Amino acid sequence: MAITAAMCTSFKSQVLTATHNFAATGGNSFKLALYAEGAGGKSSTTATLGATTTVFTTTGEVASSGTYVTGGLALTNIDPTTGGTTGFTDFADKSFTTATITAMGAMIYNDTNGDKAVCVLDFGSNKTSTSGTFTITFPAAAASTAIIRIA
Amino acid sequence: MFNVNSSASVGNIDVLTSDNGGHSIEEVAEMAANRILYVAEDAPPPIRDQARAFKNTLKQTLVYYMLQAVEQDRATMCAKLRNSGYSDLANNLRSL
Repeated sequence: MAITAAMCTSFKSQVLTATHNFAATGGNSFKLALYAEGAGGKSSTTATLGATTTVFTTTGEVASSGTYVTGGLALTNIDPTTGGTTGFTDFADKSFTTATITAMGAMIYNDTNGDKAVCVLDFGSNKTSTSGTFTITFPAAAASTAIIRIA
Repeated sequence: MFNVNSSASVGNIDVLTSDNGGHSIEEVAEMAANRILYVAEDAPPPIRDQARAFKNTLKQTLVYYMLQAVEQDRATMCAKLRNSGYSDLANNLRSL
């Protein structure tokens, strides 16, 4: 599969150099971009995303439609916190309305800091909205489920 | 020798889509309830069952007030359209 869910390896090292700030206030701006495999992509180019992804790419990104624009839309940061011995952070759910979109996965990247990739999300199969709403719902903000966790 | 073991991982997301319109109030209420209350699968059964029951009640309450919000917003839209001379459009919107 060309899109594989992963926390980007480059992100792991960048955490150690304070490259990313997920704070709700004063933090970096993180964007979520949607990708398709095959003909659903902007130029029928299959996106290849996974642990080795280091930076945002337009290759295989879905076309603008409705409120979705190429490059992705900014996420709303929720302050990082801890649960037990795990640190984690979260984002508010994101919806793209009046959109005709077919996407297989997504990338979260740091729009403030050189478009550096954070993680790749795999939807498992193509998800499609036709003149409708395409919503990404993030997992519960808990130590065992949150979208980004460091244990 | 000093070792620190750590691991980083990414959570599982859900995708919800709709065609020719937005999500239903029930779907949005479900999303809201999931954000407000997370019930761990491995929680002790009595606590897990009680939490799930509360979550269901919470969802029903969210549905009710979201319906109220939609109706109130539609009423406001109708009033603005009517005040702007678009009575027919206001009536059509009201009848949806």
